[in-house]
Amino acid sequence: MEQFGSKVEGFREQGSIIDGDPTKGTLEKPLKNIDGLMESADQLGTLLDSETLDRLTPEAQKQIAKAVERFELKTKGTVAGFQEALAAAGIGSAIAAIAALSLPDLHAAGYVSQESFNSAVLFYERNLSQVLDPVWNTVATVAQNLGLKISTHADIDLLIQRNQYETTNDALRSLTFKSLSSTRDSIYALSAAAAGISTASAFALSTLIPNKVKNMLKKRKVESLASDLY
Amino acid sequence: MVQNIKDQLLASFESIVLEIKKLSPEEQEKFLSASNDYTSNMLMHIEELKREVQDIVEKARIEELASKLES
Repeated sequence: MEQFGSKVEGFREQGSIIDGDPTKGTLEKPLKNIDGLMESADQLGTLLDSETLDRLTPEAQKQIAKAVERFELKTKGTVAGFQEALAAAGIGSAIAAIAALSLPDLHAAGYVSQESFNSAVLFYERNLSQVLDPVWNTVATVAQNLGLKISTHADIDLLIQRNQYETTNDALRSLTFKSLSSTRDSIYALSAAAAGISTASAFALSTLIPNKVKNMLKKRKVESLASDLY
Repeated sequence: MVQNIKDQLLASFESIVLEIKKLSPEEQEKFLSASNDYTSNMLMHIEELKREVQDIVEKARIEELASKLES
């Protein structure tokens, strides 16, 4: 299965400015979380396929139903804690908007298929590039004017240093800091968007997993009752 | 159908980005932190369920083998 988080490598290649940014790692965490969620859900789906369920005794099926009930209770507590954290931070409405936007589509996609997420990644990459490229070009132009060539994040550090101490060139300094600062904010925004996707996936999975298992068990119970009758 | 789902997801993703951009950088940071915590906890719960299911399935297999051997 293709790793959603492996795309991070692609982001790195797009500009080492990500490495040089003080928010390093911000982008990686939500992407890795999405990978983790997809992988675990896939593994659980493989483990609990219809064939396996068919072979289980009624007692074992009952135990699985109990495990799913416990899962539901735990996830309800986690969701409540998350909502409290957001409300305490004064951004409770954001998650409601995100959940409302994403859940129907994620639900329609069943277990949030890898294919759908790959499409989202493509969109994500396009957006990141759209945001970063103009900023990167500005920084590169400024660097060129200073006689610097940017190839690593250490060059960016040098650029910042040069600007910090070149007090005679206020305009240039201001432009560079503005560019760097807007990149930082954009990375926050895009990282938060990735977190939004991972959050929405987690929400979706907390409902989809128990529903899927319950439906499978219910179907078997009906089939078993029918076979008893005949 | 698949294309339809893709289109819907892409449309949602764009809306999510727009929604997130309404927050200040500080609020985005808070959201990120809360979201990362939440997702990590959810991952833990899914992993726990996976292990429990794995144990039940494994135990059932062993019992099935044992009963076959007995008979």
